[in-house]
Amino acid sequence: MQIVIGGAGKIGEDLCLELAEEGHDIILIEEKEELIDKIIERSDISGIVGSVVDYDIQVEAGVPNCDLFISVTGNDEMNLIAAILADRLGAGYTVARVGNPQYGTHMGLMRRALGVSNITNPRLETAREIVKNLSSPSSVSVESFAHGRVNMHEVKIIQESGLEGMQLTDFRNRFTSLIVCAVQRDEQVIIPDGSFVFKSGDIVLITGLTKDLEQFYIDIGISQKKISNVLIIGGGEITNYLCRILERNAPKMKITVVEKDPKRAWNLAAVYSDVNVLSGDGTDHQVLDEINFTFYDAIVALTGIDEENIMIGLLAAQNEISKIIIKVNRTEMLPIVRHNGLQTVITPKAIVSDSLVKFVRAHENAMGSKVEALHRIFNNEVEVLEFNVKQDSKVLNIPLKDLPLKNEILIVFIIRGNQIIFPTGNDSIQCEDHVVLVSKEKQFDDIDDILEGQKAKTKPLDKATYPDHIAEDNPISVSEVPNK
Amino acid sequence: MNIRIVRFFLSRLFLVEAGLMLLPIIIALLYKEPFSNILSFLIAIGIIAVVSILLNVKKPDIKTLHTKEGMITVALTWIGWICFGALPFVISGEIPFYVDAVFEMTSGFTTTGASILREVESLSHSILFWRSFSHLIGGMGVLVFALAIFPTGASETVHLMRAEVPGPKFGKLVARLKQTAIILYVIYFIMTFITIILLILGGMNVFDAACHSFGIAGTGGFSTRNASIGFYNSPYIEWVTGIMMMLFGMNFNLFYMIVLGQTISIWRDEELRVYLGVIFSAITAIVISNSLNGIYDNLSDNIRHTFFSVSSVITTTGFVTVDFAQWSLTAIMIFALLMMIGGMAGSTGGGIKVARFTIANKSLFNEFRLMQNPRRVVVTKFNGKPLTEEQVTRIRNYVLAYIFCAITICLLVSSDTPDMQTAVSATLNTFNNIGVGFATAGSAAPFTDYSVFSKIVLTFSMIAGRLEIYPIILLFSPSTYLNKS
Repeated sequence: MQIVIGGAGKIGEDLCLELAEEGHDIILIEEKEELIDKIIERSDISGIVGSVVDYDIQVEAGVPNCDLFISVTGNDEMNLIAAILADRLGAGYTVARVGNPQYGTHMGLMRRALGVSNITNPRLETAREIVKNLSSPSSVSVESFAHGRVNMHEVKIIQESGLEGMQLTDFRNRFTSLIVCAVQRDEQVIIPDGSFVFKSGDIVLITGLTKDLEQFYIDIGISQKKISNVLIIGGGEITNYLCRILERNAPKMKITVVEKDPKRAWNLAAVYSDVNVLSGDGTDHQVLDEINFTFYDAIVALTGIDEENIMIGLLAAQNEISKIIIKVNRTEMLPIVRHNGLQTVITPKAIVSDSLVKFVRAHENAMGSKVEALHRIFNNEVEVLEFNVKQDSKVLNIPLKDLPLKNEILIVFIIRGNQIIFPTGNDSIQCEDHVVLVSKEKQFDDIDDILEGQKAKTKPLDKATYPDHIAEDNPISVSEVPNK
Repeated sequence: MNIRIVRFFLSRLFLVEAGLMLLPIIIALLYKEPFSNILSFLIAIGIIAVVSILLNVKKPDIKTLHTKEGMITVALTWIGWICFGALPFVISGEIPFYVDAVFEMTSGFTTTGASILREVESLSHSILFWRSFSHLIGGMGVLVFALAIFPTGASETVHLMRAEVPGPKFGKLVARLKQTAIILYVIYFIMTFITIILLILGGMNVFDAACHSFGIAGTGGFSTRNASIGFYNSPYIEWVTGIMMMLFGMNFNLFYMIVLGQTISIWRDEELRVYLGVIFSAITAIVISNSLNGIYDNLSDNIRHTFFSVSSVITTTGFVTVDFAQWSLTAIMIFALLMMIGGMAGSTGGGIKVARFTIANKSLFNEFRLMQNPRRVVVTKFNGKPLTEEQVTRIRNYVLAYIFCAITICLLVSSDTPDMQTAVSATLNTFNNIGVGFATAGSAAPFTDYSVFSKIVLTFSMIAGRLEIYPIILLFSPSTYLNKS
């Protein structure tokens, strides 16, 4: 796919790296030459120095012939104008990053009126992600499928759970309707087979029906108390969206926001009457003590500074707050914070690039069995994909045990109409099924890619330049696909 | 201060009054009154014309009007209109003493309805008409009226209108100020006309119906009968009057929204809800109090008289059917509260205004919340929209100014009043432009026996109440006339 990306900010950079790794041809437009140079050093893209709204620059970048144009500069209006211009020049699809809440309320109208295929709002996406996590108090992160009926949770196994030393086969006998998709142990990701033995400290990716998951939490002694008091530190745009969503979806939840800047605090208080807005420095221990922060069920750290958020997270963990969500912008920080595993880490740019990568994959394969949902888990080591299987797929009507699957792939469940099937080896995939699978190999954009011998798009060169040091450092622990 | 521009506006505004004086002349001709009545109006018109020409000798070279000049112009226009408007009373000899005539005229233009006359039925039709007609013009504002008929489109005039339209916030209905003024007056006149028809249907003669409708529309309260509405002894007229008063106590922008077909959205108006809520709770409380005290034999009389009095008092109209000063002290205290709250912003009513009352209360409530948690950020909202700290402060200060003025007026009239109740009643009566009080002498007790000094104080009290205090304070503050901007 020919992709032109405008703006080399955090999101732009991330997109360049990811999409280049997926094998697309990327041309980056950016005003600052040094930013382009920095990205070119790390991945195989080309760059043009100039403004993304400049007609000549867009033509030079090949926008008229490109399949996808993505404008992700820091300026909403520029992104919109660039996307409109690209659309008129003949770009296949156009995507604009728009953060201003004033534009955000009528996305559908904006898209239609402006002729932009997709408008992405990183802060809103981030807020949605946080809401999803707040609704499941005891897991580290949550993905939901089939309109929320099936959830995929990251859970940390603690000593008291009674799971320590248990074999996966025994686990399956005990929790028949749950599936362990992947396990992260000491910076290493395993797709477990029957002989896998749990250790405390493992973070497991587990899935099942919502009610079965709830029972599981009760059985292993993790309290599933609903979160009723949330403390949000930092009152920026994400908080604004977060309050808006929570006010609508969880009206009973009591929200307290601590914001340093009086003007911002005032603006929040002016919009949300039921939100308790406090003016003060949320990173100040004194202030936190004053508001009795240990009383809250959940703390969400959304200040503009990563280090502050991490500190708040550590402090909250020390005070045994059950749910901690912190926002970290820089991915370089992630291995450090993920290590203690108690908290949910939200990375806005990753959320956006996930959704855009999904968009690219879905549009690249508009005719085939395309990607419906994409979630990346365990620091991007595992992808959870949802495919809509079409009739020309090669996987149809073959019992799963006979499917020549690639290594490190697990078919987790199949959604067939209203039915959710947790398949055994005898089940087979049928036309119009939605298949959710977990894979350590990435860049699948069609269900057929999971079969042995299908195209491998990944160029080794890209892999080497991608800063996924963990993946490079740790030899992949090979395990069988459990369902086979 | 740019005196010339003030003079320029004054001269033109006075001429409007001269024009309006032609109406009572027509009435005098219709009722075949003696020529002296017609002459008294003609002389007044002549005096106005001369003054107006003198004021306009030097044309202003700078045609800018700022807030300060706007306020002064408004204050002087009102005082001028009152002084000239009182002339026919004196010249015709029906109210011989000029201070009395000025009090009566002030009461008319400020839509107070308090009178120095013990009885009005002996006055000639033209004088009665002029007295009641002043309610109609004063209700919506003499400048708004002038603006609606003047061919000017000067943007400066917004300062004039802002100073005159009651309420904390002045919102134009449409982009053009003149258009806004015309819309307001058209709605106003149509509603007045409906009231006239309804009253005629209730058996009033056309002249009485018109005069009473002017009183209802302007929330004034001058009647052509000594016993006010009580004279007719007709439940129909009382209900019609009561309901129409309540409507004229509402913000006129709401009626404009109804005209535009947005009837549902007016129920979202917070001020309207508070207004109706206050009326409803006051009626309930007073009806219960009356029942307990056995004032009325049957409930329907009780409700009717209570509704009428509450509607009359909260809209600051001041028509009476019964002497509620004879009811229980609880009822009187509730009436005193209603007097202070007054009508809605943008209505023809007086008082603090429901909007200010609501916002001041909310701000107070927020203060309590702030005490519980000093770090808390509290925002005062009105109609779902946040108010800036500046706006809230302005409203709190207005309430403060209101209280200081009320206390000062009480103090100034204290030498003339027999007891506390009468002094407070006289103050609230005039300062809120009501026209009825709860004096020991009765709710509609006239101001005949007050000293000249007290009458002048109460005259200014009425003007200050109508123009919402600041223009009058500005008029009397020396710094206004020092030549700095």
